[in-house]
Amino acid sequence: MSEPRSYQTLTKGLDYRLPPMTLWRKAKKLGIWDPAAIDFTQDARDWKRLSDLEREVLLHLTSLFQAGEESVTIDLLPLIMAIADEGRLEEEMYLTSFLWEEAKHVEAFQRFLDEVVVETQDLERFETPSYRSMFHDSLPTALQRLRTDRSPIAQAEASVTYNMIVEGVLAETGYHAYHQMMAENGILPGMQTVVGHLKGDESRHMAYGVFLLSRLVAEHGDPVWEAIESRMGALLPTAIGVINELFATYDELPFGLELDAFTNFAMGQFQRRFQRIERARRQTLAEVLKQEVAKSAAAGG
Amino acid sequence: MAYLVFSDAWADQWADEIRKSEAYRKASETWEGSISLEVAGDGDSTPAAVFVDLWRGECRAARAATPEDLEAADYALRASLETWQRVLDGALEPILGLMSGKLKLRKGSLAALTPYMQASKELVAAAARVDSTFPDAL
Repeated sequence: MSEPRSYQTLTKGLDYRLPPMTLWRKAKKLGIWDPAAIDFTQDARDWKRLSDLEREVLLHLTSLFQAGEESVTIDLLPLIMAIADEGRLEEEMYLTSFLWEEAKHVEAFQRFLDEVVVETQDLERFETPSYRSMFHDSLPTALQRLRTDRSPIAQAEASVTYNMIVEGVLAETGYHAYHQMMAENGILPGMQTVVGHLKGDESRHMAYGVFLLSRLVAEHGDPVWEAIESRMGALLPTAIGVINELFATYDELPFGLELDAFTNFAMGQFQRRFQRIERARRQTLAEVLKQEVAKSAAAGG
Repeated sequence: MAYLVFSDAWADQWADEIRKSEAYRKASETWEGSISLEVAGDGDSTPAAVFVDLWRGECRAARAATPEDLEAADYALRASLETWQRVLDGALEPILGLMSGKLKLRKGSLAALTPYMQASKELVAAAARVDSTFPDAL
């Protein structure tokens, strides 16, 4: 017979001051959009008016996002299980919204492909070597490892891969450029709405990743920090490779797309997060929590 | 014999290592441009820097950078002495240095550099083969 379980909510309740609870509150308010409610009527009309090259580039980007969203939906569960096993109820509560949001992203992109693009042909043609390396190997390997290895270093390497690289460098940067491209050209209003929601959702996901990595560094010190730095150094060339290979596919790019816009945005976002996690090397766990609470309060959380 | 990092003698040794590197040659066949690696001092000062002229897999020149070199370099990377030591020891990947802001791009565009990440690793590997000494401070 197993040990009787002590329920946190019957003994000490929930700690609403914890950063994941702030994210949970935000997710309940801001993350409730419905992919099925997006109106793609104008998008379908716009799609027919685009040139062949414009359609091909948009479909290329869309297919990378779609497979990426499916991949993160499939691979997030072992991280949630690792956090739950440690009895971190507040973090687990937030992570339920995290997975739910990733699943909604899959549905939103699928609707766009089914109702706007319609004739997609073989979308796997857009997978380049770096993309396959990231989404067929690095991401699933790092996350599925948590099924058997839930050490702080394994958790940190999984979070770096998922939050800092796949979400922070690839998805968030891609969505930024994708949204700008549609907004500046006044096309695909339904997809613009979707990407606006995605950017909001991803910002909470990234905030959780920064919190998790900062917590792990404050709790476990330099071995975790060194694993984080090493993992980032190993994966950044592949992540940048995904972007470069996409651009290298085309002799000219429509919509005023520029590689600089992707890389500079990615670098700016990455730097701010890197510095916050690095700061945790000199902080106690209590100081990390205090800093995150203060940051959330400043942001109106 | 150990060479003081970023000195003329160190630059000569580095150039020799670059020229011997088949891996560098392959990774940089299309690279055309000069680079200065600069130690960031107080304010805008540059207490030490090395200039290297690289052209389609070849190292055409390398030396301790003059003020004219700093002006003429197509790409300029600045960092603290401590960061350069970590890069040249292989403890900090150049791309992570750039993305994290520890290596600052004073001149040039990140987008133009990123296709040459393997070449940058080979340049660092060539530098790591030079017996180097680092001053405590500059």
